[in-house]
Amino acid sequence: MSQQVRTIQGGQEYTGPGVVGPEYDNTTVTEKISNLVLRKDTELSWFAGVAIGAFGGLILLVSVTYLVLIGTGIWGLNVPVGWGFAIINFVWWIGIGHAGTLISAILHLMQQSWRNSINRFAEAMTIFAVMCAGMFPLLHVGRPWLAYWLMPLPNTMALWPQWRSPLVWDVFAVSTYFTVSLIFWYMGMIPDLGTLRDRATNPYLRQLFGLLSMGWRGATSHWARYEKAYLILAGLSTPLVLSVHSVVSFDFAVSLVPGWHTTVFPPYFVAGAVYAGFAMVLTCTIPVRKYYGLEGLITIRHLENMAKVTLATGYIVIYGYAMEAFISWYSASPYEGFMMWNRMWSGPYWWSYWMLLFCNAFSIQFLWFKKLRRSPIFLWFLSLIVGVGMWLERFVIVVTSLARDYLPSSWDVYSGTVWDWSLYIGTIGFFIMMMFLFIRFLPIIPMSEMKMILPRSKKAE
Amino acid sequence: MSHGNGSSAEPQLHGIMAEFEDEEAIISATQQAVDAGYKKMETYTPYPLEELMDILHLHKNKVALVILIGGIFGCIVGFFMQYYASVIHYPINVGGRPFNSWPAFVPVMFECTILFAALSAIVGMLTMNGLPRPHHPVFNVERFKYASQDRFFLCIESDDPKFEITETKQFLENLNPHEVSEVEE
Amino acid sequence: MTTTTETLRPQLDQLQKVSLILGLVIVAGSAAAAFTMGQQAEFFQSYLIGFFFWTGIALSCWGLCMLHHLVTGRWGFVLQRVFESGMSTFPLLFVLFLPILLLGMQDLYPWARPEAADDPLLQHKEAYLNYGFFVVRAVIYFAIWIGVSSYLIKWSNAQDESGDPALSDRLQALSGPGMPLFALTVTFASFDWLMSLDPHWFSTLYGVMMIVSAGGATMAFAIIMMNYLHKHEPLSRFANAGRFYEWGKIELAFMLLWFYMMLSQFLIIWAANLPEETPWYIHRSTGGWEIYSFCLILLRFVVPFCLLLSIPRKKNPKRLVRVAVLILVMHFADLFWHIMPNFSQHGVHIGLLNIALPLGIGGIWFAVFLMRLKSRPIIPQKDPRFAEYVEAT
Repeated sequence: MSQQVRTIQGGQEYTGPGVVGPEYDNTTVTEKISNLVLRKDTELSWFAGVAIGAFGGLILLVSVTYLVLIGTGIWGLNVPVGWGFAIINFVWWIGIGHAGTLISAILHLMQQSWRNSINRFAEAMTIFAVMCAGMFPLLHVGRPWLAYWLMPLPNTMALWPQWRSPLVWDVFAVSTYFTVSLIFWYMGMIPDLGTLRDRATNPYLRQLFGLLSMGWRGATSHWARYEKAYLILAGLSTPLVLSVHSVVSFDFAVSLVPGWHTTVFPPYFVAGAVYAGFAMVLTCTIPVRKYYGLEGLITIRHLENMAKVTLATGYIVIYGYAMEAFISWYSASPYEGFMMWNRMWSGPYWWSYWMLLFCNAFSIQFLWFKKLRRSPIFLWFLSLIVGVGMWLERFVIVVTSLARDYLPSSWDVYSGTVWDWSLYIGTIGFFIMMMFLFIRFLPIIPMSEMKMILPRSKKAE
Repeated sequence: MSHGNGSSAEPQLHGIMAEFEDEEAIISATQQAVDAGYKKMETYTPYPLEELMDILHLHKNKVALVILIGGIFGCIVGFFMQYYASVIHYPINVGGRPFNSWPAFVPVMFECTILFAALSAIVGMLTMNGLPRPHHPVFNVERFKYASQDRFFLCIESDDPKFEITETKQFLENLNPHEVSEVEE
Repeated sequence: MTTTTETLRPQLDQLQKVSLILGLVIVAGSAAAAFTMGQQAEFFQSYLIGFFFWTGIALSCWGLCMLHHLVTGRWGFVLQRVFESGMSTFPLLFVLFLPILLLGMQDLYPWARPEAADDPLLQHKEAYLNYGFFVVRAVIYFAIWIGVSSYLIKWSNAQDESGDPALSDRLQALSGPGMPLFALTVTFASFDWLMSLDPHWFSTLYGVMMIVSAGGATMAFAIIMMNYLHKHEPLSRFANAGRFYEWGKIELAFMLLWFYMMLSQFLIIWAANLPEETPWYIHRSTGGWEIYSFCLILLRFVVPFCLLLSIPRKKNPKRLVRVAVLILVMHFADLFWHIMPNFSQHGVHIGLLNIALPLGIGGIWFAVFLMRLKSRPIIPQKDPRFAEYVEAT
């Protein structure tokens, strides 16, 4: 008796009550997803996508090379604004990564089964985003080849990292975050790698997947330990994601700079990170589900839920803006008051503040409407606006506060140079390239987890 | 590895395996095997099934304990790493903060806790599962490749005290499987 | 139709009567004693602790109820009536606020005293911190709280009658915009009523911290109520080990968040070491308060957090409720820590009034809460998701 063969060809929008479309059962889920990896033919558009990403990657390579040759002077940094694009982009990328952990960990703990079809994708996004983020501080130290000094390595001069500095906390937070995300991602993939091993026809590929799957054979005693470990990892990742962006916010908040030093920063940064991250998940998944016909697995319901999370976290961000503005007056501190006045009206960057409010506070109001929450095209455009808005938020925080510091004689205006932009665009290219490689070579939707949430009656078919 | 009770003439058996088509079938088959007095058996499924863990009493394991120990270890290491550097080895006054600036040590302590706990989670889980192990007797069964896709397998192992080739085979045949096969060592 | 846990009804009637009488007696007795002995200031300090404790619980009931309407799920379905009864006490709380508004302002708030005119910082804040605006704001907060919560209760009641599924959508539609209203009003209420006790000090995190800390206390309160009610029909069909497990997990999250907020605020102020911010912490870390602060962290976070990590404990109502009681008591200690160092900066003095008055106010509040809880079915029986939830249990 041969296995039943029913491949799901195209995708059509599914709007029913279930989490996945009715055409899927254990067999079709396996075939649909593993065929995305194991198919022999690769469409031209994929190569085009990788090429675009790789071109960005080349820009990155050139920018880094030139930076290493000449030094950070090629950036637009000046005396009051010592932290420019590097920290803006670092925070932006790290924030984008957070949605991945949120989807994979927190929604797993809350037993939200709809997260099962997007978690792998979101976790991959996290890992690549953290890679992009990590480059900026490493390059910003000026001599990246000595970056290992940031680690507490015993040395003959008895020098240690400055443990009271949030920048050292950052090293630990980001490297832990990267490691744990990688573990979580890989561990979630082990059973699927086993499936690919079993389905691959090419012997080399089979060996490769066999190696990667560590000989996973799906024994129930293994599943028991696996599930427990996975659940606890989710439990560990949840406070971790909170801590990472809080530590990032401490980079600013524990200083004395008005506009940086405010206690609401930790939760407000975390919410902003999740907000930008969910927008990025929408930006990536909407085209992918369309292109690969995955509408029955990543349904409108998934998109709507993500839109709701975006709206909710967006409101926390708005709350943060409101608190900053109110307390800057209420504190009766002339520095705080000036900072806010400068940020809104009198400073050279007033436009960025209003653009930020437009992107993050005004545009998300459309998400109150169910119809728009269920429109993939609208969500895709909105997610881009949110991405821009969150970049502007970091720009406002970093640049407007530094450019007008305590001493008027040292005030200066900052703007990024072409090398600032090329490095930023380069990381976006690198990110796109990595996502395309991921889409082609690894299962983008967790098969074993999808099979767990299929309705019982379907499985028996 | 092999310690089968058969004579050297026939191939050593790891056990006898039955394939089932859906969850209900494997759950009831496993229940019947347990009821029949078999002790050493293993089920293989494409995704975890709570019911099988209930039947085979697999809910208790030491994963949580290993992770807890890892986490506590990480927390202690995180604190003393900072304490040693800032208080013992090279005390240095920074902005009038005390040498033992414990509030500032909390973030790194926390990160170390999570890092060590997460590493113990994956290493502990894999070690206790006996992985990585690319070759295992069950892979000798031709159709076992469907165990990771959409089929469910029950294997009664040869070191079970009640194991007897023909009898066990007969027993599994009666459970209405899709196929029964011998698993060579 | 059963209106409530029928087998418990006599017991609940009794409890309601006792708590009302005790509450009234304690409040009246403390007031009489304090005013005759000239301890007016202490009376109002204790009164504020009690008032804010129970207001925080009512407010979080409102917030959690809206959260339930938005995300749905069994955890909130079973607790919905507890939350609704909690938030139906806003009119009572408004009456309870009047003594502070009418008599206690000068005893509590330095900015309300005539000396404030000599303080340039308070002059700057005069536009916000003045008696008239303070009253207007309080009225606005209560108007919003009473307004939104009464619609939520009304529609929920209407659904009990008609079973109209459209009402669920309407509840959800109101809860969406209700959440930002909740966050803003609670934040500004905590700025007004607690943060301005030290009018020089400010923290942008304060509102979030108050929301989180009251949320944890409210989950603890709900767990205690459920432990009391869950053995009786019809709740015994819903409030099983699985539900307690979920509530325990929510409580665990609140514990973690509480510590996170406390640590974030402290670390940021400690590291920056600015003269306008540190006094607030100096008042809480000298003269005996350092021991108090240490115990607070230990008993409000470390102990309950570690206890709640255990899965069997979360599934066992009897064991879980012990943690919930600890949390509720420590929430009182937490508010004491927020309020009292503003008045007794040179040492911890826990007087009889400090404990009796919050209990007395609690007695009155609890009696009204029980009255509301008894008056309606304990489970929203005609909720469109009823069948789904009862099956799953």
